[in-house]
Amino acid sequence: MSNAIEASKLRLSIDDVALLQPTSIRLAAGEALAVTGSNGSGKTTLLRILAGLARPTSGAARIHGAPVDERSPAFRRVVSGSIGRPPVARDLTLEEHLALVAASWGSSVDEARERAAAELERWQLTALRRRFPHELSSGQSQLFALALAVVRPYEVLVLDEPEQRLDPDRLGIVIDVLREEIAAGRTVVFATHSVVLRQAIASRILRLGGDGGDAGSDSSDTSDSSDSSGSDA
Amino acid sequence: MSRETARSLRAVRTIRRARAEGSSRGDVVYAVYAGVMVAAIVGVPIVRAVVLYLAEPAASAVLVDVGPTVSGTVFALACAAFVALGGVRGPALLSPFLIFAVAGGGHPRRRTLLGPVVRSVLALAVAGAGIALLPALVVAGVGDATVGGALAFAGAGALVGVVCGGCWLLGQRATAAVRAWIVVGVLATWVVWVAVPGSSAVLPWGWFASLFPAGGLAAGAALGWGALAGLGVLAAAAIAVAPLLLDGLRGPVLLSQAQRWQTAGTLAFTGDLAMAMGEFRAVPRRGRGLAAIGGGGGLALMFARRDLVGSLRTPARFALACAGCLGFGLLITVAVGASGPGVWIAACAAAIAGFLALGVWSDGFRHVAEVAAAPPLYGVSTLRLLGLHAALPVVGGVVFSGVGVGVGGMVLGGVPGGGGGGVGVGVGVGGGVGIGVGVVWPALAAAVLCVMLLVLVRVYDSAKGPLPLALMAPVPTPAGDASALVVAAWQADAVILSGVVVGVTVASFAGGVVGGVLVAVGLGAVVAWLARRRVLAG
Repeated sequence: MSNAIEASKLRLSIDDVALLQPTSIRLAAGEALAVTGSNGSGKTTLLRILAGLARPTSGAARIHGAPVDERSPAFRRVVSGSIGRPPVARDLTLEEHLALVAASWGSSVDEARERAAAELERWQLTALRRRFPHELSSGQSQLFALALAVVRPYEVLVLDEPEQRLDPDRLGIVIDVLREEIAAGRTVVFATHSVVLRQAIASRILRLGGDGGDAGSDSSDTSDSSDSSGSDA
Repeated sequence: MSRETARSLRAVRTIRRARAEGSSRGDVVYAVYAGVMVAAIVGVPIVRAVVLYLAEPAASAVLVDVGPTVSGTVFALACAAFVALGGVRGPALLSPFLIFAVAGGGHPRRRTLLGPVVRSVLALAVAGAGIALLPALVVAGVGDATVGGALAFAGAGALVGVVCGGCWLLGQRATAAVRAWIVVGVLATWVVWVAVPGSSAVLPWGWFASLFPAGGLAAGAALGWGALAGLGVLAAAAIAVAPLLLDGLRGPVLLSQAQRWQTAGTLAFTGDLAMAMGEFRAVPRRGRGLAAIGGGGGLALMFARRDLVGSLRTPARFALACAGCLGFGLLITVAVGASGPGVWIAACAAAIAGFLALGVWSDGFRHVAEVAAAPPLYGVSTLRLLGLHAALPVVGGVVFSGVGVGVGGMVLGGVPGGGGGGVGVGVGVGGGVGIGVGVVWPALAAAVLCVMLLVLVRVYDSAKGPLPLALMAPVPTPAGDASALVVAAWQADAVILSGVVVGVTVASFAGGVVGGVLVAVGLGAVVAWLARRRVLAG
């Protein structure tokens, strides 16, 4: 099986300040990698590099065999993600946001609306379909951001702390949806501080930084784990 | 892919139109109505006044004399400015969400971002044609040119607009370093054009200048249609490379520009122009290895060092400040050497250049304004803190404006009516300029004093609070509600004050250096009192 993600010794530094120590990853389709580590260990930086939002100082990454290049339409078709708050249109409802994103990927207007409705249902946001983004609670905003990331077609999903601001029930929704996505053969890379999410989703773990972070439960029930300062997974 | 892209974009438009806010037919009609009314009530009288003024014999003679030089210079500076602007706000701009949803999608950016770029380039072409047509019609009206020549110049203006659009997109695509090199390159070719006779034939600035429909360069007649064809080729090249540039745009850059523009628009709509401008201020990414705090010498040196190193951490801004102060000094030299209205025109241009340039070195004042509104942070008073932060703008302003005065003296020295190198650098409207050696020292004194005054204006401006609600009250006049003018005056008060203090100071130097110094000291006392009152009130 070819690798969905293959990254070799990715490193990013600015003026000799290392944002990401050399890190290597190799993931097959249908795998889920949890990236853990303390604050500032480089989790988000790694995700941004994989999503093409930042360029590594050294090292290289390939996703589905092609170099990471956010300017390439083919790359953008393969990789989706939620890193930081997504931009929203203040004049569109949640349903319209999702429909517009779906339509931008080739769905007809009717298909896009159906897709949006289905996604709202999956994330249990249907009751909020007519709300505007500013009318959401922080947890609802987080679910909506995740819904925006998966309403479009993709093969690799990059998520930065998807558990943020979610209560246990909403975290359960995230786990269910991500399990469905992984079962459909998609690859998920997510940074997290949540042991619950990690244990429920991750097939592999990459721990960044050498200070332990939340490493205590890293190897609990996962099939593979790596602990590194010069990380490899 | 192309058909699928078109289908996707149609679907996106359909969903957007289902949400009426911001794009209903009524909104569009109202915008057109408002635009026409503003043009009719405000634009037409201003344009008419300018045309009538330029049609006066003295002014039209100057226009014919300097028109080609100014045309080429404006073209070159506009290209450089648009390249620089592209790094802050490029033509390929949608709302942040549409950047995320559409430009971040799987379709080529040459398609998804084509619309806003086409609109921007068209607007620039129309603006270019309109701006070129104005002086061209004036010289045609006074009999110095044919209507055909005027129309050809307007057409060239449209092509210049397209080229500027290409530069804008290029600036958005390029990295900061490449952008800086392009700007330097453009400015270098402009210097070559000014300094090297005969370079007009090979430089686009010369092509455009040669098409000015009256007076002009000796080479102008020879260039003729070839110059127009050259500009056409340049414009066609800009259009041809646009798809490649669009495909090369990076998503994070697009998104950050869109978010910044949206935030600035919101702030500007609420009347907070200062905050809106702050959105476009570069943030430091370099120079963290430079020690901002270090050495000895007490608080004064510590703050001066801190401000200098902080400014060096945004090198492009620092360079702009230096260049702006240099231009300020040059314009002050021109103003001191001018007579009649030329004094005020050059002085006001200098005031704007100096005010903007010193804004770069006024981050310390802005910081003090923020600190003053919070629980005590520093162990010195607000006024003393302002004084500590004044070292960099005063010293930097004096040094670089002094260099500018020197350059002005060399470039314009002893050339009545201007003229240097291959093309004329004449400046002066209704009076003319004769820069002699004797002007340099008064100009230097005026520049130093004006820097001090502008620093005080910067302090005054930094302590400006939010728009007072009282200014939002209607101001009924026979022509309608004039409250917008009041608000505009409040927004621009520091710029207006800069123009007044610099203009009065420079004008007073006509009566002798001593008189000029006394006037400047008096003005300084007034502005200092205004600034102190505003700071303490905040």
